[in-house]
Amino acid sequence: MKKEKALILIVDDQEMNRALLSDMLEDDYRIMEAADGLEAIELMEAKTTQIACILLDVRMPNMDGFEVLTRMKRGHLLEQIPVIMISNDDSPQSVEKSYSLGAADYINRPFNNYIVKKRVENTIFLYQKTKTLTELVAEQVAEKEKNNANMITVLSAIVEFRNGESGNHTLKIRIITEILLECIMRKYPQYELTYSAIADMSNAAALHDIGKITIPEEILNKPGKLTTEEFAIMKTHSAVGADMLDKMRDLVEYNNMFEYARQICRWHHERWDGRGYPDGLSGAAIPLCAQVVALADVYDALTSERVYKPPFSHETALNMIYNGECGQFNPQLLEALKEIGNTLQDKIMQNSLHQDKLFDTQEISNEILVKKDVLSERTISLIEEERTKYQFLAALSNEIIIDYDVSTDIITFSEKGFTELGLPLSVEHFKDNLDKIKLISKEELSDLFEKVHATTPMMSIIREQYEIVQQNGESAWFEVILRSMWTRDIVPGIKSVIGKIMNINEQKVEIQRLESLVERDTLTHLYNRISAQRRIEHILKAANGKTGIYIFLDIDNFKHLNDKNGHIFGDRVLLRIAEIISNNIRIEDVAARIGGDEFIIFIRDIASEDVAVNQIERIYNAFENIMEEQKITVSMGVSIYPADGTGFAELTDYADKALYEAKNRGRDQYIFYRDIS
Amino acid sequence: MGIWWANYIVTKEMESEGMELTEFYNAINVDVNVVIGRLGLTERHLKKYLGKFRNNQEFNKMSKAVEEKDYTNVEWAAHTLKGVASNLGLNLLQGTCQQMVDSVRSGNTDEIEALYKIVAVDYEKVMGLLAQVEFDE
Repeated sequence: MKKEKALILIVDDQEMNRALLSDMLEDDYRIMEAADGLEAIELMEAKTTQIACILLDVRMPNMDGFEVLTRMKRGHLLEQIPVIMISNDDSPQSVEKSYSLGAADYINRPFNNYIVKKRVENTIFLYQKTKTLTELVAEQVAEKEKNNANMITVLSAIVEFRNGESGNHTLKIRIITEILLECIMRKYPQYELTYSAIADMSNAAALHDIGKITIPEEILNKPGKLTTEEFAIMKTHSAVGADMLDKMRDLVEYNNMFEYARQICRWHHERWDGRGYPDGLSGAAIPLCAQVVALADVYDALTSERVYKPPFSHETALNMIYNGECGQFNPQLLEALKEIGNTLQDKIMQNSLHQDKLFDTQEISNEILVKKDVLSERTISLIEEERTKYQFLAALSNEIIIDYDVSTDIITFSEKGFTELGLPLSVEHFKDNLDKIKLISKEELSDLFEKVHATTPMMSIIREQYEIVQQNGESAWFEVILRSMWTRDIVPGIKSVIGKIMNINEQKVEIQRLESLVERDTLTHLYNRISAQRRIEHILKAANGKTGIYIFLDIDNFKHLNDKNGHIFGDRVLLRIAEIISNNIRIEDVAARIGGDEFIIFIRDIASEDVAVNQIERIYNAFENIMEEQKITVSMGVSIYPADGTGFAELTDYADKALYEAKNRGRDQYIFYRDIS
Repeated sequence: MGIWWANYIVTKEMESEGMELTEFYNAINVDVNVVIGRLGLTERHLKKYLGKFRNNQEFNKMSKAVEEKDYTNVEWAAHTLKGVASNLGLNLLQGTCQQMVDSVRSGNTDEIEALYKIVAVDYEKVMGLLAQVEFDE
């Protein structure tokens, strides 16, 4: 049998657009068209169950797409028919509004045949799956209820058979109980009744007289009034029935229905004023189910033929009950009885004809779906909405988004990761495939993993910086920020990790520039005093006894020079000195200007002290011809590591003393500290 | 039998002087195959839509709205025209219409007149070219 093509409704005020879409889809679907929102709604209401999908434009006269969505939601049509927006307007506001009003998807223009077909196909498929699921659950529920009902029917039939009662007493009690309970559910929400509970209570009601099995037949079927003793024996049927059910706790799956049955059995002869039996409970101490069955039992007894009385009319029965002739009942129950009173007989008639439709299985299955572990449709759609928003915003943002799920062991990166860094869009079995991420070294990656594992629910965020080569070949600094997401177990575990990769190159470069600014003398770009000290101390710590030279240098008569030739000349001299120094040391050595006209030079890892002496000679000679215009000389004081001392302060002090001596001896020379100590 | 029909066919071909779709699209710098590929339909379909497009009222509505300074309707007309243009691959029209829509939305109504002139030029060009295309009526 050829499967009928699904029906699609296309709503757009432009004939051209409808024609386009229709042409694209007519091979696989039947098409209906509407030119504005009003027409669309009419068609929808007429053919609700047949429409598989709606393609909806936003801008239309009379009623726009948003209005259509709102109407559909109100009329509960959105749950049955998926809507795909087809609009010209793909501004983020418009898209968001559509989704929040309940649209299932969004197709942009210009229309692409393949995309349109696929989206429609997928959307319809998804919705059908959901519908099938709901139907499956409803079927299961109906099965279960039917099984329950069957079993109880059998039991009750046995009891009734012995009772000699006719007229389907048990069935009627179930029906009346159910109708009463439904009315109470509506009128008195404080009882917090649910459809499931009503089903259970009504089924349980059928067992209310099960205790009568133990009552001797002569008493059960005595046509006249019972003696006091006989009545006493009769009254035991409620306690006995409850005991029987109680004893079944270990034998059967003792669920809610059984508990209700036990309560009903024991207390369906109690009365509101406490004058019932067997326990003399009064008021709200009597469980609701027992109260309702009590009332149903009385009503049915009045309106049916019994061995000891003829059937009374519906009105007579109601009056007798209201007048308290059958005992006192909960005033709320009486109100409920009054409300449904007129329709009771009809309903009994209807329901007894359709025994298998005793309960609203649709409602029960809805309730089941709403319970804790299973999500309601509304929740599912809310989650879908959030996911869509998230994906959409992630795509808009300028950063690379990371999403790793522990249970599936899959990591995904947003598209930007691919275009900028060549990251794969997703990697399965990530733990075994770490090498798929080629951006950072394996060690760095393992290190990152460990840091993530070391996070806690309170301290869940880590940041690391890496220098990475981008797709364009240039390397840049990136910051990776990761946050671990935790389960709600007693001992929480990581269930996913999210984060982003940001390009921080500009900031990094800027910071490096600022750092170097802080470390260096602005004029000469040699180190300043503080950073020189730090560096030299660092070198000394790692020196391991390898000889080092510490030179304290200053320009002879600098102040006089400055005063005579001006500051600009002075600056030139300083620059020249710095240049000479730089040209005569290695990268690993330290040269600093520590104030005015004073400099420090530290040369590390010299082979021996003799070599040191040669070095000093060489450096001193480099200052032979500082400026052409004028003769300028320098004085140097030298201390040796480790021979003269091992600490920065020491070496500085000695070099300083040596310099002082050089000045005293007439300047333009260098002095070794050991020569004066 | 003789090829008496050959003349007939040759004459027929010489008679039709209308532009083909490829030429039309070339004239507006669009690759017709891209448009057809995207629509997943045939050249015949595309011709049908272009034929319908010739009768569209949107430009007239836009003109009227611009004259009456009815900016809401200017936006509406531009928006609709843009949508149709984009579907049919009339890219040059699509661009200017989008700018028109953006202008109205951002409240920059002084630009409207100027933009309208540009739209008009593009529109005339497209319509002019369309008039030369051979449509099977």
